[in-house]
Amino acid sequence: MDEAEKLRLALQGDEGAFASLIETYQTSVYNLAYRMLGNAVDAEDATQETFVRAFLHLKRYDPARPFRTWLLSIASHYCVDRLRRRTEDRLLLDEDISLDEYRQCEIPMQLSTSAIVEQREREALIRRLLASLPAIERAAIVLCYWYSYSYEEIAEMLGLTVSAVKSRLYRARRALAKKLAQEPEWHVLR
Amino acid sequence: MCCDEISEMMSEWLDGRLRPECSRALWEHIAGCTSCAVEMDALQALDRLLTSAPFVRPPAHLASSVLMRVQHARQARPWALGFFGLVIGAGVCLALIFLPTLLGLLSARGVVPVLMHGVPKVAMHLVALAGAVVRTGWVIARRVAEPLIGLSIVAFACLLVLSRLWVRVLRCWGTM
Repeated sequence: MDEAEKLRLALQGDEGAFASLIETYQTSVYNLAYRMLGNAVDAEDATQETFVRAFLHLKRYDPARPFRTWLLSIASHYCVDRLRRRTEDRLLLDEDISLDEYRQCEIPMQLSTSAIVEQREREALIRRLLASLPAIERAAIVLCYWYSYSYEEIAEMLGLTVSAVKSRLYRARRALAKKLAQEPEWHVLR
Repeated sequence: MCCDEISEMMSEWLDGRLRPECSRALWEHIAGCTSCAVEMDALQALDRLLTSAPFVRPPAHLASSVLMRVQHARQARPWALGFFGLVIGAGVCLALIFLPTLLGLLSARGVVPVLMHGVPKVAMHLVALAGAVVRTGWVIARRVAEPLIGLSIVAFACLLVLSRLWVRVLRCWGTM
């Protein structure tokens, strides 16, 4: 069964077809939520909320656009709203990434212990860097680096103009590079 | 080109969106500018760090928990609509039951006569206000439309005369 057929069935209320779509896209949505929100609990909740919203508003989906783009657009908006609502960032910046969360990363398991430790430190560093960005800039960076979306696609997904995406990516990169240079761990890792 | 413009171009270059001639200008500038070279080095280091970061896999139970939440939301929707319907219905019933009692209490305290006298007065004022708004609108519309009406009458008359002339010309043409 191809994706268009699954979508058609899901639109008619077929939960089996929608379950198949969840299987296909859960990693994409979860990774976006994890990179945006910085922890596994919030990422899981955001993934669930994204799929619920997608299912309830499936009639609004334009088949001319890729389904993944539509889903990630819903997830981005949800994560941006959630970050704005947060009175204080619950991410404990000084806390290292937990071993369970680390195991979720797609890292080859045959790595040596020192390589695993290094990868773990890199992940913690990335979390700290992303947590320092405003919500929209964080979303633009995540969509650009992990999903390789073009300026035009990011603009459409976040409801911005192309020039706004360019300037936000530029500002985000400058801020991140500055913060990265101040990280003592980075000088050991690089 | 100044360093700020070059800095913006660096971001586009990292995304592979910079035109070749601009790329040449960028690297020529970096070759002669230490601060921009340092910035480009920092941006490339960041780029390497982020591009090397893997996708985070979801926990194994995620798909089933998402489906459960979807099912729950699907069932909750009609239930929520039914609940709101029930609340509104109950409200109407309670109002029908208690309204006569409430009116009785109010009339006993002399509130109803005051309301009976005051409500028509307020309604009359509101009608007068609406009339004033309509009249003002009419005056403004006339001010705007009058010249247009005059012009359209003249245009209509011209068209009438021209069409008559045209009919005569055609008739003459037919008799020739």
